[in-house]
Amino acid sequence: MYALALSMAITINFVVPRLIPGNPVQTKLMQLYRLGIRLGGEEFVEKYSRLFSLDQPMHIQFINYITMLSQGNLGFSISFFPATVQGLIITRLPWTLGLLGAAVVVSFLGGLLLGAFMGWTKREGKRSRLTSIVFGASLFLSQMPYYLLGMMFVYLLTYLLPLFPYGGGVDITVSPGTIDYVVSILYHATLPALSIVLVSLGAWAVEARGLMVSVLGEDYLFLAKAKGLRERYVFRQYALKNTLLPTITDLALSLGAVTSGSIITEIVFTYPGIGSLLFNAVQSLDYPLIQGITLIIIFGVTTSALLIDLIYPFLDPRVGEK
Amino acid sequence: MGPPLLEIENLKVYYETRTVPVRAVDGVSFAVREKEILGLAGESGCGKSTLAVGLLKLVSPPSYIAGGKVFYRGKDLFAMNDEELRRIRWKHIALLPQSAMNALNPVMKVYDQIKDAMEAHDGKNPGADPKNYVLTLLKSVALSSRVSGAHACELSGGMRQRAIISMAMALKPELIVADEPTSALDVVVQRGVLELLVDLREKAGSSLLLISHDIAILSEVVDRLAIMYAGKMVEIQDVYDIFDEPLHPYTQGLISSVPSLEKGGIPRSIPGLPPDLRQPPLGCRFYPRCPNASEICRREDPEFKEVEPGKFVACHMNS
Amino acid sequence: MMRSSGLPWKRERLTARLKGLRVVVENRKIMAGLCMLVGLILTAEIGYRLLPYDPKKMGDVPLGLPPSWEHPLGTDPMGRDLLTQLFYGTTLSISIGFTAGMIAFIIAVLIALIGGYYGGTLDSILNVVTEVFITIPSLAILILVAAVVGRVTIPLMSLILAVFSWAWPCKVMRAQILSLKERGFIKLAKLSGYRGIEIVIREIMPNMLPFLGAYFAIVVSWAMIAEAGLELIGLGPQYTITLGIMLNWAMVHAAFTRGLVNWWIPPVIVLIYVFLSLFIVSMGLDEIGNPRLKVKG
Repeated sequence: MYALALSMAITINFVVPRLIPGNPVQTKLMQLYRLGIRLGGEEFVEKYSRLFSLDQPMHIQFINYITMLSQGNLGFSISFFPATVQGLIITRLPWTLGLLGAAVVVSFLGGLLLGAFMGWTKREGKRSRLTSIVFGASLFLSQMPYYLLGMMFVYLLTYLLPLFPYGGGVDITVSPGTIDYVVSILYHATLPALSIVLVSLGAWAVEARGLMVSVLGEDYLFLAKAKGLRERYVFRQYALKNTLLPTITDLALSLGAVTSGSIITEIVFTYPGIGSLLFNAVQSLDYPLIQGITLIIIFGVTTSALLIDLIYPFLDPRVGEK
Repeated sequence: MGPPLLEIENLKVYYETRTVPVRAVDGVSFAVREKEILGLAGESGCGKSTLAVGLLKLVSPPSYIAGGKVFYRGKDLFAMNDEELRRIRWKHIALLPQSAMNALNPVMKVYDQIKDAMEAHDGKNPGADPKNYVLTLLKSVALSSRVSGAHACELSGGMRQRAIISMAMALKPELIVADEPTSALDVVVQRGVLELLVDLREKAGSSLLLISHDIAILSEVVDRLAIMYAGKMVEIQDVYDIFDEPLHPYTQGLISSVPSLEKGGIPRSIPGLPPDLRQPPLGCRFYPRCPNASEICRREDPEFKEVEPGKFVACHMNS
Repeated sequence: MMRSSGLPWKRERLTARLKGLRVVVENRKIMAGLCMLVGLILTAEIGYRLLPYDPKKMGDVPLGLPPSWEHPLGTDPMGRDLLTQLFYGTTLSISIGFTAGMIAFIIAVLIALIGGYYGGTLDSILNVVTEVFITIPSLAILILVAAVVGRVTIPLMSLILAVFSWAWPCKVMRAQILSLKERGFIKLAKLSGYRGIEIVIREIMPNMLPFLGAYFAIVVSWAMIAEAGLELIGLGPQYTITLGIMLNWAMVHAAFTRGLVNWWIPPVIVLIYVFLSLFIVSMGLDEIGNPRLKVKG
C-alpha cells in the first residue's frame, strides 16, 4: 500500500504541473520582464527549456524525472536559480521537522494521557467539574484549524502583549552554536508549536477519553477489580494499555493532516520551514520547487506512516493471531 | 460442613433508572458454611448474578447497594474501607463472573495475570518461585505450560475459562463464587470445569457458591440448593431433601420442568412471566403463577424463614 | 437502536419516518446548531442586501478607515467596506463548504456502501484507495493543484476540496457498515430474498441515518477548514470575497502585527461560529445514534 501511495504521489506530482499550457520558463521570464528585469530572449528560453528538459515529449520527461529522482536530484529552482531544489529543501527541512516532530510527540503523548485520566475519573460515575471543563475545552480546541489559533496567538502574544517574537526561526543577531542561539530557536518556535499542539492535544484527549470509557465497561476491568488489584496498577496495566494501543494506528493516519495544518501555520508565522518555502514557490510559480517540496512532504508522511504500521504488531499481541 | 463463612443479611441491590429503581435483589438472606457447596438457582433476571456482584460490593452505576449487610467470618464487609475490602477480594472470596471467558486482559500474558493477583495480595516473595507455581496451577486445570506465555486471543473459550479458574485458585480462597461457570461451554468441557470446582473442597478446603439457571447440573454437585425468584430467596434445602420434597411451588415447577429418564413423560413448564421489578407486587411475587395460591398470598409477601431445621422457605402455604 | 424495517407497509414507514424526524427535532443540540447556522446565513444575506456597498469593487469607499457608524467594521486597504465583505463572504464560504461537503459526502457514502456491502476484492481495492487518500497530506496536493490551475473558479474550488475530504469519513462509515453487516438482521433480509440494493436502502440506511448526518456535518467542517486554509495562502477563487480571502488580505497587509483587528477578527469569529454550530449538530446526531451518550434529563 505504501508503494502504491508513493507511486501515485510521484505521478500526480509530475503530471499536474505539466498540465498547464505554456512554457513555465517563458511565463517566468514574462513576469520578470514586467518587473523590469531582462534576462534574455529566445535563446535564453530555449537554453533553459533544455535544462529543465521541457522540450522533450512527456514520457521522456517522465523518465528523466525518475532517473533524476533516484539520484536524489530534484532539479533546479526557477525562482532561486541557481540554487537547487534539494539544496533549498535541505536548509529548511530541519526547522519543519523539529517543529512538527516536537509538536506531534508532545500532543500525542500528552493528549492521550490527559484523555485517559479524564476517562478514568468516570469509572464510579463520579462527575468532576474540573474534568468536564477540561474535556469541553479539549473538544472545542480539537475542532479548530491550526491557523486560526496561530492568528490569535500572533495577535495576542506578539502585538498586544509582546511576549513572543513574530516570524522567523531565530534571531539573526545571535550567533549560531551558542546557548543563546538555541534559546532563540525555542523562543521563536513556541507560538507555532503551541498552535499545533493545543489543537492536536485536544483531539487526542477526546479520542483517548472515549476509548478509556469503553474500556471501563469491559469484563476484564471488572475482573481486575474483583481480583483485588490496586487501583493504580489496574489503571496502568489494564486500562491504559488497552486504551492506548489502538491509537497508534490513528497516529499514522493523522500525520497527513497534521503536516497539512503545519504548512499553513508556518506561513502565518513566516517560520522558515518547508511550508513557507512551498508558499513562496507557489507565489512565484516555481514548478520544480513546488514539485520537489510536495514530493518530499508526501514521501516523509507516507514513510512515517509506514514505519508506524510496521512497528505496531510488535506492540500489540493481538495482531497477527488467528 | 462447618460454621458459617459468609452471612448475608437482607441484602438489597437496586438499579437506578430514570423513574423507579429496579429491585434486582430485594432483601435476600442466607449463609454459606465452611467447606460447603451451595447451589443458587433461578431463571434469568431473578437477581442471582446481581447478588454475586453485590456481596463483594463490586457494583457500579447504575446499580447500587440499597441495604443489608454481608458478614465474612463475622466482619461486616460493607463497613470496611476500600483497602480492607480489596484485601478480602480474591484472596478470601473469589468471584468468577459470568462470561469469564472475556475477562482476560487481552494485552497481558496469562502468566502475568495470575502473578499480579498473587503480588497484589501477598507481595513479592523473594524466595518463592512464581513461575513454577503458575505452571502447577495451570496443570491442575488441565492446561499446558504453553498457556502460561500465551495471550487471551490464542486460547479457546474453554481454555480461557479454565485459565480464569486457575487464577481464582492461585490464592487458595476460602470461598469461590462461580457465576454460570459452564453456560457457554460445550458439554464435555462443562463436566471438566464442574469437577474442577468441586474438587477444590477436597484439595483446598474452599467453599463454593455455584450459581446457575440449570438445576440439573447443580443437583449433581451441590450439598444444598437455594432457589431465587424475582429478587427474593424462596427456598433453601439440602439437595436430596429438596428434590424429594420441594416446599415452594416455584421449586416444584422447576423440578418438574427437568426431563427425567426415570419418570418419563413430558416436562411441564411454568406458565406466565416474572413480575416487573420496578414495581413488585405487594403480595407474594409468585402469586400470579402459583397453582396453590390463596387470598393471603395476594396481599402479603411471605417471610423467608426456617420451617424445619435446615429447611428455609418463603411461602404462606408451607409454614 | 436497531430496527429492521420489516414488511414494506407504506403507512408504517411513513409514521416511522415522522417519528424519526421528531426525534431529531426534539434533540436540543441539533436544533441549537441548526438554528445557529440558519441564523447566521439569514443575517448575512439580509445584511448584505441592506448595505449599499459593493464588497468586491475596489475603491468603492475610502481606504483603510477605522470602524465608524457608516462603516461598522471600517474599510480595507483596497477601498471596500468590511462589514459588507463579511456578509457576502460568509454566505459564499458556507456555500462552497456545503457544496464541497455534499460532493465529498456522496462519494464517501457510495464508496463505503459498495465496498462495505459487497466485500471481497472490490472492497479491498476501495479500502486501499481510501487509506491512500487519508495518508497523503491533502493540503500539499491541494496546494499543488490550486497553484497549477491558476485561476480557480468557485465550482472548481468545491470540487478540489471535495476530492480530498471524502476519504476519512468514508473509512469510518465503512467500518460502521461492516459492523452492521455482522448483525443478524442483514442475513435475515438476505434469506428472505431481498436483493442487494434493497437491503442497502431498506435495512442499512435507516440504521445509519443519524451517523450519516453527523458525518456530513464533519465533512462540511473539514471542507471549510481546508477552504479557508487554501484561501489564506492565496490559492482561493479569484476576484471574489470569502472569509478566507479576507484573512488572506489581512495577512498580506500584516494586519496581525499592526493590531488592525477589525480586519481579521470578524472573519475568524464567523468561522469559529460555523465550526462550532456544525460540531454541535454532529454531537446531537451522535446522541441519537448512541443513546448511551445521552445525559439524564
